[in-house]
Amino acid sequence: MKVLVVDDETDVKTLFEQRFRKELRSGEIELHFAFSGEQAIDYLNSHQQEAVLILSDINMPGMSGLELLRLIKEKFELPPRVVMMITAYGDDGNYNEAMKLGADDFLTKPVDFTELKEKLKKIRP
Amino acid sequence: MRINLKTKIWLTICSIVLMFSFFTLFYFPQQQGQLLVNNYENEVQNLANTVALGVKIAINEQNFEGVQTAMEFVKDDPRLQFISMLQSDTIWDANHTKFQIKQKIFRTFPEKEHLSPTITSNDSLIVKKAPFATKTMSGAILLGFNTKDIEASKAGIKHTSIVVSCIVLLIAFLIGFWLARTISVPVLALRDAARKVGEGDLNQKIKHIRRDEIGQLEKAFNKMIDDLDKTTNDLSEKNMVLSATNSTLNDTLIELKKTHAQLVQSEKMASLGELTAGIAHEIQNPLNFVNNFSEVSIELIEEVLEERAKDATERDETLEAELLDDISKNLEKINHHGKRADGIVKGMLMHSRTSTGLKEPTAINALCDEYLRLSYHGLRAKDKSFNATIKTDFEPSIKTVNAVSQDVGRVILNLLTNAFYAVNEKKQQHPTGYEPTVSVTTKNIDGMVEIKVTDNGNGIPKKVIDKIFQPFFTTKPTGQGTGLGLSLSYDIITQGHGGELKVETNEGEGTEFTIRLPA
Repeated sequence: MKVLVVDDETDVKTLFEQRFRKELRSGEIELHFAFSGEQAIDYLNSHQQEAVLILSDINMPGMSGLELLRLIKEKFELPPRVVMMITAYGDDGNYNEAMKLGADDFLTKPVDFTELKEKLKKIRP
Repeated sequence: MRINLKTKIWLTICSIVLMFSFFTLFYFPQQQGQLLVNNYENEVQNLANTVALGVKIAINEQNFEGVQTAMEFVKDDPRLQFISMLQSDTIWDANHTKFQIKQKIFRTFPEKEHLSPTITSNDSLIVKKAPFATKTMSGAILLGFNTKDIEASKAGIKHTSIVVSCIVLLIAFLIGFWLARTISVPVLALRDAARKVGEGDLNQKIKHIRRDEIGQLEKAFNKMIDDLDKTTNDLSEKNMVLSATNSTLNDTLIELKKTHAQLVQSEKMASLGELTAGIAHEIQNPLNFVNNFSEVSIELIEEVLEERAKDATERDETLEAELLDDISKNLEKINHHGKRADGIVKGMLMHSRTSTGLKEPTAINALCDEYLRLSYHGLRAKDKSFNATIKTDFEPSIKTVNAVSQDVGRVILNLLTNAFYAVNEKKQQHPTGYEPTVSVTTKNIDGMVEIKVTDNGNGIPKKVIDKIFQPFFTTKPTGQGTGLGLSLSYDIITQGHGGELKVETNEGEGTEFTIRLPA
């Protein structure tokens, strides 16, 4: 499963790579990282058929995660992707907005990786 | 030399009197004397004529005794000096062509006087001639009267004049003196009174008012004292009122100063409050990493231990090395994020502390960056829909600037908060294709460090731009924004650091604030 992780903090990459080291080693998961909404769009444009799961932070400088979500749902419908929002702002406003835009799930930081892995198992095609 | 009034009056009277004296002492007696002399001469002439007539008659009657009688006509007059009869003889010369008249003394009374026929008047003698002519004889009567009486009269007149003059002079002196005093005494009294009034003693009203023009002056003076008294009282009252007002104003000023200090503190607290949410978020990120990397590191160590627990043949040393390397990198990251959190907390503490006002070398770029992130996250925490593009351009050559870092930081924070607010406002108007952007740049220019905070919000309207630095001025709705931010920022930059804070704006397009600090 190809996963695109979008977050402005660069250490997120190291964290995910270590947290998913087993899955990476076993090939269950392929991780790609974008450090801004714009970078994410570039990636999706150039790798159309790939990431089926997108994990995105909400508050980033420039394009916000919610904006990215909207774009993904509008312009990148195929293949159908699962988009989950990961964010420190776990309030109702953000949640409702995310759900309205079609997010598949909503997680708050600090990420509970165990929970995340459970959810990913459910998605696995 | 100054001639006072008294002397003037005195001199005037004396001159008048002197002129009068001159008249009485010289001119008048002289005239009188002249008159007397004239009269006397006439009298003597008349007498001479009378005697001459008598003699003529007597001669005509050939009455020689009559001649004597005529001549004796004046013999009893005590003024008589002499009386002579002269005979005139005509003496022809030999040729009978020319003649001479010779007069010789015929008879004289008193006889002892020896005279010349040509005698004339002098100072003490009046001589008058009365000619007569008869058939038998021609001649003249020569009459000499002395002037003793006249002299005596003249002396008498002079005497009287002198006495009168002296009396008049004395009276004049007295009158003059008295007059001078009557004028100068009240005038001097007024002068003294005026001087005392000038020194503050209003008890100088003139008691006995005279009845002349000086009296009018005295009345006016008294009225002036009354008016002065009234005015002084009015002024005293007004002064007391002013004093009271003054002390009220003083109290109010103290109140205002207290209130000002409170407001400044509350503004600080307000901006601190804005920071808190941002700070919380800011700390959360590093803390998450600290926790996550610690957890992961624990797992990695377990894997290492698992690996090490295996037999030597099965151990994957490459894997072990990788794992140890990862653990090491994780610890570095934990350290890094821990310090990040620490720095943020320290920054927040510094911001809340009362500024010591001490300038220290401050890394401007780092300061701008820190407060940029703080302000951005703070706003996002308050308004979830808030978003903006942030552009930064920090000139790397800028090292440190001597500044009170928390004060300058507060200024940057204020400008950023305003910038974010502006772009957010514009965003609410949903213009198409609008990308709210705030940028912070630093530059070295002319020995000064220039910090620019630019936004593409709605700009500042012309009618407002002059007021933005005024205390308590705000365009935000009531309850949001104390209106103190820019005025405090202005004071911090200009007065606290000797720098400049300027603004440029285009309505509808955006605003740029420029801070310049001496490096």
